[in-house]
Amino acid sequence: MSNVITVARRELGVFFSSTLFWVIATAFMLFGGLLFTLYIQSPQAQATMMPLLSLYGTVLLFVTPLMAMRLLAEEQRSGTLELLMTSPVQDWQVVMGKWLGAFAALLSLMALTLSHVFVMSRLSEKGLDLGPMLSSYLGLALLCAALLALGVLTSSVTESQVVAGFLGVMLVLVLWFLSILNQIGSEAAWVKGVAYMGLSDHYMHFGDGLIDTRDVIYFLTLTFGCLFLATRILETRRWR
Amino acid sequence: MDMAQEPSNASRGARGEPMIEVERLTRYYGPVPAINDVSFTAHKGEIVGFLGPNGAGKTTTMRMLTGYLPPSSGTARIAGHDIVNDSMAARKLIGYLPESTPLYPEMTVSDYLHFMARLRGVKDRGAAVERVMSQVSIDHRADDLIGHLSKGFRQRVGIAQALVHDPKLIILDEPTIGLDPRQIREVRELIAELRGDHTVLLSTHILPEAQQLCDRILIIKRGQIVAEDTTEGLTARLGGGEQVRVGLGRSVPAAEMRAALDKVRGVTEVTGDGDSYTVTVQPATDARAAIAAAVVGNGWPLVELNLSRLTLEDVFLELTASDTAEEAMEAEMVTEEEAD
Repeated sequence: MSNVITVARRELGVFFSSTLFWVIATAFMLFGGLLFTLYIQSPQAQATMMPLLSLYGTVLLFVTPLMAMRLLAEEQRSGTLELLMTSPVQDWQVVMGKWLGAFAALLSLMALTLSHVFVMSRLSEKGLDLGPMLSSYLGLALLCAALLALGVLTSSVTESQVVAGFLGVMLVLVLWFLSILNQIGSEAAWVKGVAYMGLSDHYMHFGDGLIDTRDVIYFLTLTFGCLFLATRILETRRWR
Repeated sequence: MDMAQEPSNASRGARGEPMIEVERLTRYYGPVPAINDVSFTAHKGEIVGFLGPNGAGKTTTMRMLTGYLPPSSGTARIAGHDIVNDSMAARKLIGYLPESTPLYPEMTVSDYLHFMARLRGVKDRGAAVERVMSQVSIDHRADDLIGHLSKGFRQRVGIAQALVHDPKLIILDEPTIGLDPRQIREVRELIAELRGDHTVLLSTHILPEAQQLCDRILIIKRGQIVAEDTTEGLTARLGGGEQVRVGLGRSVPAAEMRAALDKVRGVTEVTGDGDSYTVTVQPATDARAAIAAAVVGNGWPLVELNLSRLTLEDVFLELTASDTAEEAMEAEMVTEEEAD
């Protein structure tokens, strides 16, 4: 475990000293803030977490692949992976540490969104319910975890950050919009099954204050499944 | 004082426990073996040089020893720990510098060394980092970003990270490649200082470097070790030792010359014609006086007598060249046999 923390700490330090992270943070707050302002000024605005969740989810679809694309691709390109993988550290600890570092950086970014929640609760007379707020942030954290794990996976298959980034965005978008299949009204089992794999429905469930174990398991499975696959892919690079 | 005592024998007597034991190590890339059935042993405190042309399999062997690549067959032990079954224990004992000196340009020297020390499980990291930074004389750049350092300084950081956990075995892949002459000298001095405390395995394709630094040299070619000995032993054994050039004031028939010199003790071969001959003598038998006496005794005017020791470079080129020729011939013979 201490090896995971060591790798994660370095990764977190790299994020906070990299230009890319601050550009992402700025863009996130700019777009998020703009859309938030537009929303609360509209006549249909409601003081619930739902619109906020959908807003952050959409932005995260593009932010997480950008954050994760460097993680393993750059190490493979520059050869630093060779030093990591010849240190007394297991392969899974490298992958896990990388993911954890990015996750911590992204969570610190998400903490900034509390400002939106604060503004919204002050604007409505009754304020915001604590329940939906907590469940929403759990959903947000789980989404961040899963999206970053997908990014780690795409970053493991290539030495090119650009390829990893594009692959990541494509994969994330496809997964996100699989839920749309629910709206075409088909009752066929395979349609239902494929739609169930989609990210957005599971994620939005967290907005109404209920924590469904199925949704939690869905995100945890996706996260650790991707990290497991990324580890195996790194291992196969040794056999080539 | 025993003058007959050879230095190579002395160093052999002082050999410690085996640090690297390689047994029939083989690694295939697709159908092609990069390393084929390689076995060798390196002892505690030795500096062992891997010498060979580019693409001979030096890096592949090092990557297998450090646990980066698994062997296709065969095995190796680092201080008794199997590199496949007991990889983590073996890795803890190794400090490794890969060929391209991969570092994180966005980190400072000190942060990077702290990170590597932590990964290798060093307890007192502050002291360890201070120690290696002064060892490679980089303490004054401790807070600089690695990306801002010159190649020579980066190489020092690379060596520092290989030393930070005070490993028993240090593996350096082409440690002086791409450096300028002054930096090369500095790095070589650094490596020489490691002698005794650590076992060092280094690869190089620069012959004087191996000659200068290493106690023992393994010449590797096309994935196989073609020669292994001490630097002196290798030169003597493979080069046939010393050669004496004999220049005469007038032409003398080769047969007469050969007849005269064959009687001289230690002479193994006489080549040449007319007024210029090359006499090969057994190693460490300086036969110049005897040769001169034989020539002058026959009434031939002796104008030149020159002893030349073969350098490792001669040996190396001879080995590689003759091998290539033999291999080419063998390949031809095989195809002919197959045609029949």
